[in-house]
Amino acid sequence: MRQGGQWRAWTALAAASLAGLAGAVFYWAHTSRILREEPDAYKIAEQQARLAGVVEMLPADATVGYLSDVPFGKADGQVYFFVAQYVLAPRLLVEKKPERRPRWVLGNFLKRPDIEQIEKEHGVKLVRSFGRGVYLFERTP
Amino acid sequence: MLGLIPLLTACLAGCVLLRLLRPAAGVGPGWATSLLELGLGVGFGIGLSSMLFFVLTVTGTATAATILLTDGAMLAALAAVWFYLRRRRPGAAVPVPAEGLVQPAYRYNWILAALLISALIIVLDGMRNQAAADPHGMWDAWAIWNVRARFLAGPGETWRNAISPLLERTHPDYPLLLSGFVARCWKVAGDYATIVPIATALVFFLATLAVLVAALALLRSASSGLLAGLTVMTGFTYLSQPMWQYSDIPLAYYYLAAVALASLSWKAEEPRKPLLLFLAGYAAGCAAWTKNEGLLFAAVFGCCYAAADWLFSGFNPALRRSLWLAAGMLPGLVLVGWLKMLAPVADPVVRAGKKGIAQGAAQSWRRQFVWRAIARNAGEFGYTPATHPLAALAIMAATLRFSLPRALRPAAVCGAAAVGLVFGGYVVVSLGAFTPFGRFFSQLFPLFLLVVFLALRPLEELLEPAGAAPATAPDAPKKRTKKKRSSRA
Repeated sequence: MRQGGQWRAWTALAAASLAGLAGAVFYWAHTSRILREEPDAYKIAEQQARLAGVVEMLPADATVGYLSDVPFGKADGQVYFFVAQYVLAPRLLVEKKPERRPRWVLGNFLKRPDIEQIEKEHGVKLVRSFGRGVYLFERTP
Repeated sequence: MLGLIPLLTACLAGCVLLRLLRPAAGVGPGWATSLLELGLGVGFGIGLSSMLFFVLTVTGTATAATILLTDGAMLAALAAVWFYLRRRRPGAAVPVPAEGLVQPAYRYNWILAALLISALIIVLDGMRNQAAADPHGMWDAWAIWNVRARFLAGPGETWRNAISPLLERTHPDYPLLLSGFVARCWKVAGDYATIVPIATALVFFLATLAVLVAALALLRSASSGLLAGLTVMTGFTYLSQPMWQYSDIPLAYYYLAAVALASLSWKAEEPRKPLLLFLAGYAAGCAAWTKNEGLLFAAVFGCCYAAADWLFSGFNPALRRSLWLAAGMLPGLVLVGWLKMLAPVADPVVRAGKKGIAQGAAQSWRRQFVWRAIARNAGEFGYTPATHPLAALAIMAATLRFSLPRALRPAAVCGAAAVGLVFGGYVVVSLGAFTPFGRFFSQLFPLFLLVVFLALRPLEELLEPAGAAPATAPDAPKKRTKKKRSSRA
């Protein structure tokens, strides 16, 4: 046996073992805290429940316009849009722009919207209000 | 749970294929060969089935029935070949490594194995927590990867939504290995059960660990593989990634598999080199089919392999072998090319272009921003400084010390150059786009560990007289004999 070899081998073994086990335990503790304190950070389950009616009503191959009172420039606006896109998929959700005229338009609002003004402004007609800020509009001819 | 059936058939097909090909037979101990085949089979099966699904989808023939039929036909064909080979060579002996290649096992490897399994069990329970807390994964999972899987799994022509120019903020030109594979399972199941992306992520994490431990056991020693496995458990950011359900862990897997197979090719007998290199190329092609960073890796890895082989073996062998590597890359690269033709350019790096990168490089605040992001994400990679992977590696480097046998030098040079150049590429593009270095580090972490543990002296060599240290140069594999088995016992 090489001189000092055993001591060095045990040191390397101990370093890897302690760091590996400690790393695993820290990771486990971190995930336990997430599960306990902040599960479903982006409230996807809640959005699935909010948008369930729209999912049922729209055909799977629909392209759906998107209107919201939370601007996309804000982080919240992005979360609302992308979660709605995920829940509605395989339907395609697109931001409402003048050059785009999808038949269906999803209204995803935090505050009670002025429906009449939206209908006039965007050339759409309310098909159904699903409650909790979710509205489905249809483009007027 | 129905979605797990196509996941299992894909993994099974890959494992049977690798078992038939036996790329590492005769290179090292049998358990490591089997573990490597298992680890590679799982990821290669997923890659192949994802590619086939894309072809079926684009040709309008992707239905639950055709997917299951394809899997069934593939498994039946592989089983037929298996039985044919067994009947043809009933007494065929499994090649075992020559004496010189067999590392006398470190007496306390069982301690390392027990600790690795214990740490793995704790980590798996942590992943269960993470999956329970966020079953849909984190931001990019539901904003990019899984939403595109839903498009691909939808009825009729909805797959086109995954590459639609209207998909402005969801990168319709990103490669589809992960989304395609998850979509394939959802298509068969007829729902969007979260168990599929969760199980896929878990499979890639475990396969990466298996390939790392097995490849090091074959190339260096069992203790090196086990120490590397334990070091994986120190990477807090890396451990958090699988259940985010992003493409970074599959990408890390294919990076590692490509370099591990190329490294094994330098150790293997000449007749086995083409197979190993073809598979290494296939892994690099799968990396390109996983994420745009994989395209950079495929190019860098191809060049690094060719250069290292030229340096250590000469021009003609390097050219011949590099062609095998390139041939393996073709399926993945052809599909990526096809996808890029179908989808609009949406990658932030491509859109920023050379001009964006040049502007970023010219701005000192941008350079500082990138360096700060590197430092911060590197620091956060371990949960605490004391349990940081670099701290553990520093202690191991100080005690074990670096000692690279001649036969492993091409592998170490190729691997280190690939890690360095790919990371350099990430730094450069980060000057023009964004800087998720935590994920970049995770992509390179297993490959980095492979390179470091290739260069570190194994525990076995510390405890054995210098003369007894094994030569790692390839010798002719010997057939297993009764005498040899009894002498080992």
